Amino acid sequence: MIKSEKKNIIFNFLTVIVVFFLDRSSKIYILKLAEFESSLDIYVLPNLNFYLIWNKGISFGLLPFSDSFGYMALSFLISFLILIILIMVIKEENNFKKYSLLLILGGALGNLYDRIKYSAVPDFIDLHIGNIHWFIFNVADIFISLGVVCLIYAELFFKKEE
Amino acid sequence: MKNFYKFIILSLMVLILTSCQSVVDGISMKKKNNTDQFLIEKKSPLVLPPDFDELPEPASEAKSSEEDEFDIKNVLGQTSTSDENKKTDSSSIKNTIMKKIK
Repeated sequence: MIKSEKKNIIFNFLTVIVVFFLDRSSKIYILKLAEFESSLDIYVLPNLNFYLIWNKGISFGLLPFSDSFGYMALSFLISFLILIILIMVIKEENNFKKYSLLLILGGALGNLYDRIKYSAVPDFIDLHIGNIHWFIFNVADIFISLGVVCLIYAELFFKKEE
Repeated sequence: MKNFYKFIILSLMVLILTSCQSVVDGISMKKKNNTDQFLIEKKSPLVLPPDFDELPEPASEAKSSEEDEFDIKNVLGQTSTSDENKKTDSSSIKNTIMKKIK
């Protein structure tokens, strides 16, 4: 019983580490590429570009704080949310929901790390169809969105099954 | 109803934790951050120096140039005399050699 709990904790921890590592490595790679050129704009696929921009705010470029107090307040709010997610992970019994929360946790930690280190989050994945561009995002955003979609799916369909 | 609240909480979570940004915002932010044009310093207006009265007058400068010319002439004169001396020296050496040959 204790062994299986230990295994679960290790797997949970590994999930967060893998998500965090994937996000960090992608950002490090893009930032290294950007070092050689003043602005990074790489054509990858017909509908995918790598275009580096820095986001000081939250989603969709909202709340772009230029003063340090606002930025610090936002960072504290994000840290507080991460703490809440961590508590939810510990309390959650359903494995599907737990791993969804872990995906969110890993991604959120990746973005928080950039907020502390660079005072902004680097976004670089630019999906577009012709001239219609979706918001530029990063790997951490993918995991956070995936985790939330999984949580919504679990909330909507798991209870019906029950 | 409970599901509705959960959905709102999850949406807020996505809004705060993710950090996507529109292309237009990203580009406009870059332009705002580019401060190179403000690095050009404006030229300060012309002002008289504080020790302006202590500077030499232009007339005294002209005198000094005349003196310099005089000095140059003197130097040239000296060189001409030295040249004559050299000529006499060389002729005396010639004479002595000729005497020895004879």
